[in-house]
Amino acid sequence: MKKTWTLRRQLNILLALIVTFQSVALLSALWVSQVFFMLDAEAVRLLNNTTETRKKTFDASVGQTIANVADETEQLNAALILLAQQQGSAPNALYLNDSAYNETALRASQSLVTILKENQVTGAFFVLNGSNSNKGDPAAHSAVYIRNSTPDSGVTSNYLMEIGPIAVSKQYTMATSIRWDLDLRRENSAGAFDFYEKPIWASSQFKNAEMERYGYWSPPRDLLQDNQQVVTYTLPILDENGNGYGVMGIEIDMPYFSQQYLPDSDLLYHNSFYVITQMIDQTLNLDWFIPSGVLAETYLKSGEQLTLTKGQDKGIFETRLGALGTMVASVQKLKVYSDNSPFADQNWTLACLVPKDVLRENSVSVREKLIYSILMTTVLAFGAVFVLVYFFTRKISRLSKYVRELSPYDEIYFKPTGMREVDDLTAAVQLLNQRLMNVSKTTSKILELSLLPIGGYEVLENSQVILTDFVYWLLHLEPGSVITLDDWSRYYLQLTKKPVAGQENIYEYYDAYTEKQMWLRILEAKSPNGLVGVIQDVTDDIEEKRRLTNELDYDALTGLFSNTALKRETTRRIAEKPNEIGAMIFIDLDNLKYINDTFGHDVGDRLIIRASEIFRYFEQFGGIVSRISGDEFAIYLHDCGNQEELRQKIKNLYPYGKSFLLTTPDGNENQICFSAGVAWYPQDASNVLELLKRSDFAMYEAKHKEKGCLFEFNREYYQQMSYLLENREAINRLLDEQLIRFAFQPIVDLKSGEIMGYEALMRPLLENFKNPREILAVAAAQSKLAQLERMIILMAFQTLDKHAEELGERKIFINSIPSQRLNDEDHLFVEMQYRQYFKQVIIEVTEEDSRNIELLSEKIRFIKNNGMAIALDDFGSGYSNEIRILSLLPDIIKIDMEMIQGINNNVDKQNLVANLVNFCHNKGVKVVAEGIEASNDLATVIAMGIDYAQGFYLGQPMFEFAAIDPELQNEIRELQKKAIQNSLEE
Amino acid sequence: MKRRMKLVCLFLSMLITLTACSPGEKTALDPKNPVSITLWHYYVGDNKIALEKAVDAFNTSVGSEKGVVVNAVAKGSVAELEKAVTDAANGVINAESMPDVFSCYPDKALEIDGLGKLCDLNDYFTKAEKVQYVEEFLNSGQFDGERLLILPIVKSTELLYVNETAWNEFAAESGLDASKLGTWEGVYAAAQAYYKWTDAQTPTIVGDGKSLMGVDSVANYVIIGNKQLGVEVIDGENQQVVLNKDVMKKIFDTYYGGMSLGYFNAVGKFRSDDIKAGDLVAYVGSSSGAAYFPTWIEKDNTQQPINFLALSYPVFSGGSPDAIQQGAGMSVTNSTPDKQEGAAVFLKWFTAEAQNIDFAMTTGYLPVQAGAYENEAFKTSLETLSTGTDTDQNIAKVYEIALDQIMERETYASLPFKGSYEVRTTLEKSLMAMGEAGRQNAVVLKEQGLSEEEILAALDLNARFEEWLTVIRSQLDESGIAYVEK
Repeated sequence: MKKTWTLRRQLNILLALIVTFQSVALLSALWVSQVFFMLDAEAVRLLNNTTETRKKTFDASVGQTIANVADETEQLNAALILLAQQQGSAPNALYLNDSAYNETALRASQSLVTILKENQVTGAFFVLNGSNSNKGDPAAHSAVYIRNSTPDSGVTSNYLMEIGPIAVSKQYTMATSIRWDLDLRRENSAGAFDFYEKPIWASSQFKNAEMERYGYWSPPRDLLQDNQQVVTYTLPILDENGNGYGVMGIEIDMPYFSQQYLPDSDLLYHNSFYVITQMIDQTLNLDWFIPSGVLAETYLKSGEQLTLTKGQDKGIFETRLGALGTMVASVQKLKVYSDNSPFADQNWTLACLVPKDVLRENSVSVREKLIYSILMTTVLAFGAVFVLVYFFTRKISRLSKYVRELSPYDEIYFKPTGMREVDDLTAAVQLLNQRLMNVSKTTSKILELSLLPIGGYEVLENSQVILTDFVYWLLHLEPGSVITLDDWSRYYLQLTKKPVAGQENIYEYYDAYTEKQMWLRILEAKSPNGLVGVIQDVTDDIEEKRRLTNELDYDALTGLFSNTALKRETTRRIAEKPNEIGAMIFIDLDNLKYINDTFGHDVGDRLIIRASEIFRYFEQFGGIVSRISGDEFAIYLHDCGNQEELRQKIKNLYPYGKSFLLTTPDGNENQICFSAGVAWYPQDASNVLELLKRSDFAMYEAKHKEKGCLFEFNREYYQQMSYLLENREAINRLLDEQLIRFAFQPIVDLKSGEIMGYEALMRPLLENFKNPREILAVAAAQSKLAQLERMIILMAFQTLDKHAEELGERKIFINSIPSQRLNDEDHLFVEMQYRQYFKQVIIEVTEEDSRNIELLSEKIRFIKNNGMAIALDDFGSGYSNEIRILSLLPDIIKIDMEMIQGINNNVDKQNLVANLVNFCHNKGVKVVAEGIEASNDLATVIAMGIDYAQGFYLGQPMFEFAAIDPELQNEIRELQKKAIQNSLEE
Repeated sequence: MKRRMKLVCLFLSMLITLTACSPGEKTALDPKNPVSITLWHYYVGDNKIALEKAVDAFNTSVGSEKGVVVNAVAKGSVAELEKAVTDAANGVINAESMPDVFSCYPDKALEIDGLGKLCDLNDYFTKAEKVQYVEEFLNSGQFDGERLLILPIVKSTELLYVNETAWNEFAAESGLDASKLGTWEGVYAAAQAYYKWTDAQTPTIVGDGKSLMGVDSVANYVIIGNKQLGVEVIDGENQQVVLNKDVMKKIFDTYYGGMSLGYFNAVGKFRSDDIKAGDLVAYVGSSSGAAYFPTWIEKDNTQQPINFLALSYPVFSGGSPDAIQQGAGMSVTNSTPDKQEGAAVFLKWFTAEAQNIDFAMTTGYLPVQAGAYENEAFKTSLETLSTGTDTDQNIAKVYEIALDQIMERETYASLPFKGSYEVRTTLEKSLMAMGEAGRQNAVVLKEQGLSEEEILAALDLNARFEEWLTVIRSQLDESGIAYVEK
């Protein structure tokens, strides 16, 4: 069976597939277009731009500062050269003289303050080649070092003098620092004083070059040993010869550096930071670095060499950094030195480092969100599909649930679903149901009206049992009450407890409630989902049958066994004791017809009853006494001693019967006469039908030979006469079914040699009869002659009618039974129907019985009145009063073949026939010679002047109208000529 | 079914409520996405460096753990800082945006709070956390009864710094005792004597006497002088200024007289600078300036070592031995929850004993947590200082006096009210102006050969006092600050 799914599931699956397909398609499109990776590229570009912008800002700002400082340094140089000249000393000896130094310091301070005011630096300083306060100390350098903690504010009040004479402090109302000192001390460690040495060295290398070329950036260091890391930029103080004797510099402390030059606000990505450091061959050399903030300080390890791998874009590198993982670095070289600077190879580089995952965060986030959105949308769509499909199909589901739960007794009402097709369908179903209900109602009504006690039940698999009202009534249950499967099995057991033997599906059922005995017919058949059954109350049928059976066994009038009972019982007894001798006695009342005709049927009945009382004589011997029909009775005796004893008992019937009298209404007391026949078992026959037949025949013999006597079966006589008996049925059939046909024997006109007509000879179509005589005999024996006559006449006319054309003017000779004639009704019919043929018809009659001469003459008259001709058949066959018959004046006389055959050499016959011919011709009666079988006989009868002839020589009887042989015709004509000549001669 | 759903909903909502209520659990901070806190301060020099170091330490430890990055920005002096904050709070054009944390005095805090820009720190400090602070210090940051607008960071008091070397030289000559410096009257007299003594050293030049005494904070001088004499010139309780003429006259006379006659002086930016230049022998100044007191002074382009004598703040005779208690705390701006919380996290960390002691002891501040004073580290540090470098020893001496004043004597901080900070400025500036004017006038008079008494008479102290008061009144009127005169 094909798998079926609910509409809801199919819709769900279909729509879910659509949603899924759409989501997958969307995802594929996004994957193919690689949208997310565009975001990554964009992020990198943005990072690069920011870093580049920062570099430019830094370069510009620092460049300006360098220019300012260089400018200021040059001015100071000039001023100090002048001052030295005024003081009468060399510039490099200015520190040696107190007042000269004070002047120098104040002048330098002026430059420093200017620098501090103009530039975003946290300090400015001026260092000389020797110490004024410690002139003997070569490590001490007189210096002025001013810091500004608020470079952005432009306020000078926060200047703090770290190093310098108090005069400077006073001059600028400048606070002195905790570590205020007069000298800057040269540290012994290598490179610690590079900020001083490098620019002076540079100035010695490139004499008279522009100031910026000598500038030197020192890496971060704690210059004043106050825990403050600073970056310095220094320029040499040059004498008129360009020899350096001091430096002027600026300081940017680390916090300010990062705040001002590497601001966090620049950074686009969290966990990212700037760093300024030296970059050599794709390696960030972290020997020194300027961090932008906490992160850089945390993750960059001093002294580390951070190797970068080149990325896709210019200036983009990748590296790994501790816990931050892979970092993307955007690298820009900073321009802190002129290209011609000897320090240009320091490669100050700005790097912006961003964790790779942070950089790609946006795209990852967008990707995730998009995928979640798609998933959510998909899930929501699924949900919506389920909900919508649920609501969409709910009505249909309800509908089907409603239909499933319908009881066959419910009227259907479908709620509209709002879906036209479905509603149309339901409306159609509703209509169908209505019609079905009507039909059902009609059927029920018809059943009810038919008064048939019939009901049905249906046992469904889902444990429901449906009963019709009749079954409820039968079980005395409230109609419509619910019957469970268990209930039903109990009821069913009760109903089918007593099956009736030999009768299928019939059960005897005793209704305890009404105390009635019932019979039920219960039929069951499987149905697709259980079984259906019909229960019919057949009590009446059964009782009727029993009653009928009783009626069939006993004759209603006499109370004797019926014919069938006799046969059954006899068969049974023979079967029980086949070796014993039995006798079948067949009895026929002799004068029932007379009594009936004389006194009426009531008396006839009384006669029968009275007779039956006589025959009950045999009951004492265990005989089966039965009335066969009308006045016929049969008794079978079995196992009553030997044949002689039995014969004696049978013979005693007559003396016994003498005492039974029937008082007729005329007051006479009549003896009851009956004829009887006996057939013996097993001597005469071994089965009941044969016994009955033989005994009947014996009785028939008695009736014919000696009425009122008992005859035993005589086998020889029986064999002789049996056809009369045997064909009793056959004659009825022959008559009923008109099982005869006609053969036609031509009758030739001896004058012309032409066929003047045919004799219609009856031929039986049943094998029981060998010739028409037997038909006549049996018909006579069975008193069926009237019917036979009627049939012959009617059929002859039919045949005539049928072959009228073929026959032409020729006559038809029909054999009629002299003692019979058509009744008036039939006669009228024939006259109406066949009147036109009457002149062609010649009715042949025979005289068999002198007693019937009156009847015959009446008949002949009747025929003649109708215009038909009469032929007297078999004339001269031996009946005594032929002459008398002649007086009836038939039209034709047929001379019996006894007289014709051999006439040519028998003078007696010639004389007799010549007389008869002479007589007939005198009376105007034509003569037919029958049985012409030889040519000489023909010649004789022609010579004797006979009119017509028939016989085998002239033509055999045939089932067609045969034409005459031309030779025969010539022969007849020749003979006729000869005869005429002879008579002329005479 | 429906009942069960209701129960579940009830349970969930209770759970949410409970979670929301439980303190310390919920945080607006995210270590992965640290919040950037801008801190404005007025520290300079070593204090600035110390703060920046502390901030660095915080950023790399607690800050990085909790997701806070502090950027410390030096705003110069207190006045500059306050101007910047006020401008930012008022949204003045071209002003910077409000910092998340800033150093703040109570007076200013009230003003800024009036603009609705301050955050109540009670939201971030539990009771247990608050009781760790010296109650008095904490109270000075508390307003309207409960609102904690300022968290104390460090405190200081004022004391008398003396160049012991110079003083001893003079004392040996004049026979004066340092105990003379216990009262303002004694100080005045000693200064007078010192002036005369130095003037006498150059007989050829008349009137070139040197000043002995300096006053770093004139406002504190006026306030604590009043307090010593039983007057709260800034009457925070009544939100008014109390001008007690008798008391004010004493204060005026001492300062005005001293300044006019050159007994007192103010040359450099701070009086410690004047010590360094050899222009002063003593001054009253904040304990937080301890480190600035030099171990040597410049004399003839060379370094001349000096000793340091720390003395208690002088008291007007007959007054109570009150000394000023001061120190800006830090306020947190009303901003976003993460910034406020980040700021609070920093402040908690910064004022915790270890960090607080480190920072405070850089220059001579006092820690703000009561526990710090009992802290072994604190005590050890003090001992280390007393046996350390000359500067360290100086600081140790300052702590001795300062702690004595804080623990044993009375320290006073005026209860602020709206505009009270202006009162400070008014008092200070007006008196300083008077002093400056007096000195200039006196110089002229001196040149005319008038004696000190004649000069004083000529200056007419009473009239000048009235003039001062008039200036004060007019400025108070201008600022709409109530005042009473007694």
